Amino acid sequence: MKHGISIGFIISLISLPNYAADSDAVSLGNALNSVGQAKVDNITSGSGSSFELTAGEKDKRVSLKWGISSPQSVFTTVFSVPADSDGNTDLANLDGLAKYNKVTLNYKRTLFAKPTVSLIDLKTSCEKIQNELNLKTDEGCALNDLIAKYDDNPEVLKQLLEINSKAWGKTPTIFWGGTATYGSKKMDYLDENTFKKNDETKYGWSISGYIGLFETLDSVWALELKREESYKDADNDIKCPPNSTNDFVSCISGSIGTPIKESKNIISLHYRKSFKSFSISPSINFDDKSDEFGVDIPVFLFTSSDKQFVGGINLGWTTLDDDFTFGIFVGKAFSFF
Amino acid sequence: MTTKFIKFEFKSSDIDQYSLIIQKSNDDDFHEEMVSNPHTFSLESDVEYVYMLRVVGNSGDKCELVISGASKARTPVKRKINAGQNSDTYLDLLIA
Repeated sequence: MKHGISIGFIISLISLPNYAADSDAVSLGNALNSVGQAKVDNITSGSGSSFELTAGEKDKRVSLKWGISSPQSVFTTVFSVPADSDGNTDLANLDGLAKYNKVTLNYKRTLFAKPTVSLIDLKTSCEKIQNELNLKTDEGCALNDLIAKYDDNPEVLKQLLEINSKAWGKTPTIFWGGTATYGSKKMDYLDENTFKKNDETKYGWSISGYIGLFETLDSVWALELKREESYKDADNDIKCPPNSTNDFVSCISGSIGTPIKESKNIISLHYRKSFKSFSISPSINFDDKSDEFGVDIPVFLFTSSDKQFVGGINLGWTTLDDDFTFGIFVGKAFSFF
Repeated sequence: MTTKFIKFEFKSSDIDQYSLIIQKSNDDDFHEEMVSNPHTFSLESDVEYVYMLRVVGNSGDKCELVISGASKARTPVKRKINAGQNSDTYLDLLIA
């Protein structure tokens, strides 16, 4: 088992409204990620710890993470608070705890398939190709380096992909896990009779399970089921109580009435795919309680100097108010896991 | 037959999901897997083995494998997941 601590920091800057992708430390997106850098929010963060700030029009969070892992499993704890807690959020991932202070426990396990041939056969096949290409064979077989180097040589690429396929076995690499989240939020509202300001601390929770598969080399599928209970603000309104002492009327605005309890059963399907010139990480989310439906499609178009996708456009849509959103984001790295 | 204890230690701040399996070069019935980190394998002295490291993660994630106790082994092995890829596969030989 290993454990460690590292500090990473990221700021995602979204210049247009309603960016909703990958921003919640609890989501499946969370579980898919690894640690130690600024990619905390994916389905299962890795071990180690990190600090992260994400900022969007609808969701900004600061999180602190700690984890412990063995070769094929990882357990993480993420504490996170919203950097901006105003208003309701209608994120395309349908997350009702997006504006809560919360702690999330996450366990993930990856199941690697056995290779279909012996390791010495794989090594010999790789060595044969290295010899044909006049490459050194005394530095081991770095299969993915060869695949990247010869991706414009169909004949060599075909042989390399065949070795890679045998190395990873007949069945795809599968990962599964679960998360549990508990959180609180101080909610302000106006009393519906007296219109006096009130506040109340409300608590919410969620549990989820997910399963996914890696398609080597460049895509990931994942399915998540989540049960969630949370509170949302009542509808906003402006009230102008009658005033008999002068001609002017003072008005107050805010949520009228106590927060409303919401229960959700969310089913999410996630896909991550990297192409040569862009990457995508769409998700489809459905709440079986409210029949609410959300689609979130981040498209990564811009790369950093080390060829990592770090920015692009985000399209989102929810059936709630038929809300279609469009955003541009930078500084948020594309991640499979 | 003399037994040697060969230690494999995986180091990474990025990658936490990986598989390392080791086989005798001339006998694929021998098959062991790293189940903890670090992991010590009991191997036959002066015999050649082949191992395979497979990792999954994100493009740019780095790791290092340190092997100690072997008569002949390349170490440390430094790997990085290539841009646009979600995994890395590395095979090499060692003599215990």
